[in-house]
Formats: sequence, C-alpha cells, structure tokens
Amino acid sequence: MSYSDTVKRTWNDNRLMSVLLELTYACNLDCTFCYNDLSLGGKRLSLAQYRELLHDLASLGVLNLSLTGGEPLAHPHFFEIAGHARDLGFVIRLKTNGHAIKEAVARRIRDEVDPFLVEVSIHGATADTHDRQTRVPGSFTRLLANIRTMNSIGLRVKANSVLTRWNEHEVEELLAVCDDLDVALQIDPEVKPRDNGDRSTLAVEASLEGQARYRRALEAHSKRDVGVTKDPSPAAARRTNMAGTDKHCGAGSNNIAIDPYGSVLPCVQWRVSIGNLHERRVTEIWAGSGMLREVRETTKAARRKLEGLGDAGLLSNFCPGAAHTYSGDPLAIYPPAAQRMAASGRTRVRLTVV
Amino acid sequence: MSTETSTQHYRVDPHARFRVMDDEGIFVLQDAGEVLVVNEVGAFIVEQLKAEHSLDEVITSITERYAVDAERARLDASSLVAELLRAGAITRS
Ligand SMILES: C[S@@+](CC[C@H](N)C(=O)[O-])C[C@H]1O[C@@H](n2cnc3c(N)ncnc32)[C@H](O)[C@@H]1O
Ligand code: SF4
Repeated sequence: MSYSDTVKRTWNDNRLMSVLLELTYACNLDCTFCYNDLSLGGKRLSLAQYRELLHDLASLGVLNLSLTGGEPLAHPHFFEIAGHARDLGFVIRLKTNGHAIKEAVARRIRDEVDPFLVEVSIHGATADTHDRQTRVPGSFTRLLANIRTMNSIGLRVKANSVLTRWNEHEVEELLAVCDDLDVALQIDPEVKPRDNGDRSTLAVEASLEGQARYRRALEAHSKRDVGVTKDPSPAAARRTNMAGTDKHCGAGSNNIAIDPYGSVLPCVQWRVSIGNLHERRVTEIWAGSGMLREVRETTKAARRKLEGLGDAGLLSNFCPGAAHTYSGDPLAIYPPAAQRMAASGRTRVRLTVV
Repeated sequence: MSTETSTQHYRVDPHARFRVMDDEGIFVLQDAGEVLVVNEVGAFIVEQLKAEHSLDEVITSITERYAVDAERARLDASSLVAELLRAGAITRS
C-alpha cells in the first residue's frame, strides 16, 4: 500500500494522523494581515497539560505534529514541549517567523527538537515589502541571515509566503531569493479573514492581475525545474487525489488543531470547537464529540456539492473552514473560491456568494 | 542473505520516526524526506525490535503469532531488517 493510500484510509476510517498546536498567540512580529484573533481569551494550557496531551496523541498513533502560533518560540515552555514531542516520536514541523532563530537557538532546535522541517514565513523579496508586512524594521535582513544559519547547521528549511497586494509585483524575485537561499517556497495565493471573521485583513488581498502574474511566475519556475514531463490537467489530478474517499478533506477525520486555550478544532482554518482540553482529554473528544461527527458529515456534503459543480468545483480550492469563517456556513462558496471557479471558465452555475 | 546475527538488537534510527497505523507501519525518514510503509507483519517486527527483542526472539514471536515455520519467519525478518538498515530506518543498538 502506498503512503497516499494510507492517508486516504485515515480520512475514511477517522484515524487521527496530524495535529497542529497553536502554542500561543504572542508574537515578536506584528503582521498587518495576521489571522490570529488576539481578542480571544481563556485559560492557557499548562506544561503538565501539554505533556498529557502529547502522551494521549502518541497513544492515538498520531504521526505528524505541527507547532505554530502566534510565534511558537514565544511560548515560555517551547523547548520542553517540543523536546517532549521529539521524545515521543512525532514528525515535527515548526511553523515560525524565524525572527528569533539566531545560531544558538537554531542549534537548540536541531539538537533538542530535531524537526522534520522548519517552515519560515517570508512576505516579500525586499526589506521594504517584508518589513512593511511584519511592522518590524530589520526583520527581512534578520530572517535571511537566520535561514542561512539554519541551512548551515543542517536544519531543513522551507519558506511560506502569502500573495498580497504588497508583494505581487515582486513574486518572480521572491522565487529567486528563495532559490538563492536554497529553500523551497510555497506561496498561498489567498489572504484569509481573521479567525473571528473580521475581514479587515483582506485589504491586502492580491489583485486579479497579481494572481495572474503569480500563476505565470510559478509556471515559468516549475518548467525550468521539470522540463519535459506532461502533467495531467489540474482537474484530472484533483480527481485522482480524491479517488477512494467520499470526503472533501481530512478536517476532523485525520487532523485537528488545538488553540492555546485548549479548544480542539477540526482544522486550523475551521474555527469551531469540538471540545476543550480543560474539560475532557483529547482521547475522549476524539472518541465521542457530536460536533466532530457533524464536521465529518459536512466534509462529505462539501464533496458532493463541489462535484456537482464539475471541474470548476474541483478547481475552486474550496475550504469548509474558510467558508465557515466567512459566513458561519461551511458549505457556502466564499469570494476567493468563487473567483477561482470563474477563472476556471467552466462554471455555468449561479452561485450565491457570501 | 543477511549477515545479521540472531542475538543482535535494533532500534529506530534517531532521525527516523515510526508509527503503527492499524495494520501497517509508517517510517518517516527525516533526512531523506521519504516515507516507507511496511505491512502488518513488518509493523509487528518493528514493534518487537523497538521493545528490545533480539532478532531470534522476534522470529520466535512471528512463528507463534502468524503460525509460520521458523525458516520462513527467519527469512522474512532478516530480509526486512536488512532493507530497513539499508534505508536508514533502523540501526543496530
Ligand atoms: C499565523 S502564522 C504562525 C506562525 C508564525 N508566526 C509565522 O508567521 O510563520 C502561520 C502562517 O499564516 C500566515 N498568515 C497569517 N495571516 C494570514 C492571513 N490573513 N491569510 C493567510 N495567511 C496568513 C503567515 O504568513 C504564516 O505563514
Ligand atoms: S509572525 Fe506569524 S503570528 Fe506573528 S504576526 Fe506574523 S503571521 Fe501572525
């Protein structure tokens, strides 16, 4: 059996495989578009609760653990939590802004956490653009230096970026900067609303021309690497990926997210609580949450709905979590998904866009 | 044919990760960025090795659990161990 078959089976069998922990919403940067809801309050999980949680997740057979935030390194017990996760055998991905990872910290991460991957966020190809987003002067220069340090001591680094109105004019340079640093770059073309539904972050959404420029730049970049292979059409590729399951995604089926206050969510984007760790252990929530059952049914309904829309639906990159954040309805088509459907040029369905 | 001795012990390589998922086992080879899936018997063998059983002890467990003869179990276990060693999924301890 291949790994992708295994992953599909985890969707179908509701087998928890990947967990994302938002350790804190504290951060040493101050990105204008950050989706974190800083007004959210509650009782933070203690170190003892994190230890118990990690044991429970290991006993459930969870393989992948992502540590994020806020800035995960800003958590006062980051190294205890991440080191404990390492001892329990998780494949750890650290999602960080990279700002604090100078050499001594990088070495501690390598030696005490041994992550599979350190994912850093880069917001542009120049200091002007990046620092405008982070609102911390010097953060770009420092990030680049820290990436070089991480590379030099043998940490595996990947860069993530979000396409915005502020960086869309330099997307080719951004790809070149990452090539130069020898790190893979993944660009998310979609700015999300804040977790509480506040849409002010969308002020920096990329323009339609920016989106088109990004697609062209990616294509040119991948052609350079790939050469002669002929890819199937994107819709065909998506169909192949979706074969063998009746769900749209693994939210609440093979993955969950947990916020700093113990709320368990079906996915980092789907901000509906399926239980709280201050009240129940994750093993109980996983075994018996009514809300979780509802979420799983919703992923099936999303699948049926998108299939009903043909190729356009398949290419919409629809996310029930994002839909929920936009309108409270995880099945409602939201503006960026509608835009992608329109761009696919094949939709003849009238859509009510929230 | 494997050169592994029957009293040898093994452990998951420090840079690899291993989890049993129902009836199969998954290794993530962090350095290579690769995933290796082993079947139910393979997952059982790795669990036994992780529990610090020697190759000989593992072979005995396989014969008991899967009702196969010792020669068959020895061949299967030795070739899996050799393959996992080559892939960097386990090391001798
Ligand atoms: C919230 S951050 C947490 C981890 C870490 N502080 C960082 O910046 O990488 C996780 C990722 O979400 C991205 N992000 C933040 N706000 C976003 C938004 N409104 N829409 C899309 N992505 C966003 C960040 O750029 C980052 O790559
Ligand atoms: S660095 Fe990450 S958590 Fe901090 S403000 Fe930026 S996106 Fe938000």
